[in-house]
Amino acid sequence: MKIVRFAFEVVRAALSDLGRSPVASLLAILAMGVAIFLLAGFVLVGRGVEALLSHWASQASIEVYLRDDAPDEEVALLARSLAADPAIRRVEQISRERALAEFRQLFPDLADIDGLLGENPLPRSLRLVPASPDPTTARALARQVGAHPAVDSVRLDREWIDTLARLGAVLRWSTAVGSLVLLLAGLTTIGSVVRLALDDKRDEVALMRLVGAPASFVLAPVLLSGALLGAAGAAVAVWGLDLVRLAALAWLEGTPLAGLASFMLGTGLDAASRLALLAGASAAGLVAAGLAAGRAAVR
Amino acid sequence: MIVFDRVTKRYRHSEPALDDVSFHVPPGEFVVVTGPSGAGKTTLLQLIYREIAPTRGRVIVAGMDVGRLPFRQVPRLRRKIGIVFQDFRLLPRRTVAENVSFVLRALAWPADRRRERTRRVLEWVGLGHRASDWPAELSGGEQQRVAIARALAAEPRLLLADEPTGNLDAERSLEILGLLHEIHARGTTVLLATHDRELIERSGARVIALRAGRLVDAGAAA
Repeated sequence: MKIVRFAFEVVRAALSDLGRSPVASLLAILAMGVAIFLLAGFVLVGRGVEALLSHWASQASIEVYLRDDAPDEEVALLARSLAADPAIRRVEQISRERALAEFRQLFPDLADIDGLLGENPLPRSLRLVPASPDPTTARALARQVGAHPAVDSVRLDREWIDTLARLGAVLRWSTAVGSLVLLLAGLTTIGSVVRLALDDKRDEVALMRLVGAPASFVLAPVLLSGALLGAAGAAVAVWGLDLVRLAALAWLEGTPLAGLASFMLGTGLDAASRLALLAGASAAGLVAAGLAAGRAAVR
Repeated sequence: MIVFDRVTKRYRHSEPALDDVSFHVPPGEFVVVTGPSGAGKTTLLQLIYREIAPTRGRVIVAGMDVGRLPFRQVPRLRRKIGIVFQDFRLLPRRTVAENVSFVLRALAWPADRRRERTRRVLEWVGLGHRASDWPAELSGGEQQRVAIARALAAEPRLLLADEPTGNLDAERSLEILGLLHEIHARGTTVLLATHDRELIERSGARVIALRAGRLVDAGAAA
C-alpha cells in the first residue's frame, strides 16, 4: 500500500513539476516531437525505398545479345544450359522480330526503323532474370555468359538500381545524422526543463531532505518528468507521421505516383515500431533528466 | 539520545568550529545550547542531523553513529528529528496546512492520516483557524509556530531548535519557549540553541555552553 502511495505521490509531483513551467514543457515536447518525427519518417521512407529497390532488383534482367553468325543449334544449347542453371530464374529467347516489336512499343516515334535502315538492325538475344537480386551474383553471371562464343555483348539492366541504392544510402546516413543531432537538441531541452523545475522547487527539495524523505522520493519525480516529456514527444511524432502519411496518400491518389506512394508509405509504422519509439523516447528522456538533475536531486 | 564523544569539526583551512566537544543528552531531556555568535551552536546541531560529518570523534544520535552513517541511511536518522530554524523556512507558495502536510506527504503518509495529523498539530500550536492562510499573511510568531507544527508533524523523538526566537520580540519568544516546554512535557527530547539570556534563564533547562568551538560548561545531565 505504501508503494502505491509512493507511486501516486511521484506521479503527482512529476506532473506538478511539468506544470510549473508549461511553456518550457511544451517546447521540450515539440523539440522531441520534431526530432522523432524526422527519425521515424526516415525509418518509414527508408523501409519503403529498400522494399522498392529490392522489388526492382528482383525484376532486373540481363540482356544477352547474340552474334548474327551464331548457329541456331549453339544458341538453343546455350539457352537450355542457362535455363538449367539454378542461379537463373527465367530465360527468354527474344527473336529479332520480337525485339523490333518491343522497340516499336518503347519508341513509337522510331517505329519505322527497319524501313529507314532497309532491314531490322536488332540482334537476337536471351533475357535472363537472376534468381537472386544480389548485384554481385548478377555481375558474375553476366561475365560468365559474356564469355560464350555465341554471345556478342551483355547488358546488365541494374546499374541504375545500384546508383539509386547508393544515393539512398547517402540520404539515409545524412538523415540519420541530422535526426540524431535534433534528438540531442530535444534531449537537451528536456534536461533544461527538468533542471529548471528542480531549481524552482529548491526549498521543497531541501525540506524533503531535512525531514528524511527518501532520496528516491526526490529523484523519482525528476526522472518521471523526463520520461513523460520524451513519451509525449514520441506520441506527437507518431501522430504527426500518421497525419502526414494519410495526407500524402490522399493528395497523390489518382496520380501516376499513387502506386509508388502506397508502396513506400504502406500502412505506416507498425505497432511494434510505435511502442519502440515511445519506450525509446521515454528512456532517453529519463536519462536526460537524470543527467541534468545530477547530484542536485539526491544530495 | 545524543552522545558527543570528543567531537571536532574543522572546515577547510580554518580554526575548528567545534573542538574536542563531549556531552551526553539522555532521552526526554530539555537542553539549551548557548554561546556567542560563532561559538559552534549551529555546527553542533548540523552534526546531529548529519548535515555535516565530524572531522574527529563520534556523534551518536538515537543509537546511530552519525559520522559513519552511509548516505542512504541519513533519511532514517532525520525521520527521528524535527528541526526549527530562526528564519522559519516555510514554503511561501503553500498554505499553512500545506506546509505542515507537505512533510507527511514526503514521508508517504496516507491522505486521511495526513489531514488528521495536520489539523491536530495546527490546533495544538493554536493555528487551526489559520490553516488555509498563506505564510506571508502571518506574524513572525505565528510563522514560527507553523514551523514548529511542521517539525512535530511526523512525531519526531528529538526536536532541534536553532535560534527559533532570533526574529521575534520578547513576548513572542516566551510563547515559543512555552510551546517547546509543552513538547518536552509530552516526552520529546528538545535541544534549543540560543544566545538569549532571558530565554535561557526562563527555560530552567540544563545549559551546554560553547565558546569559540570549545565546551565551557556541559551543565549536569538530568
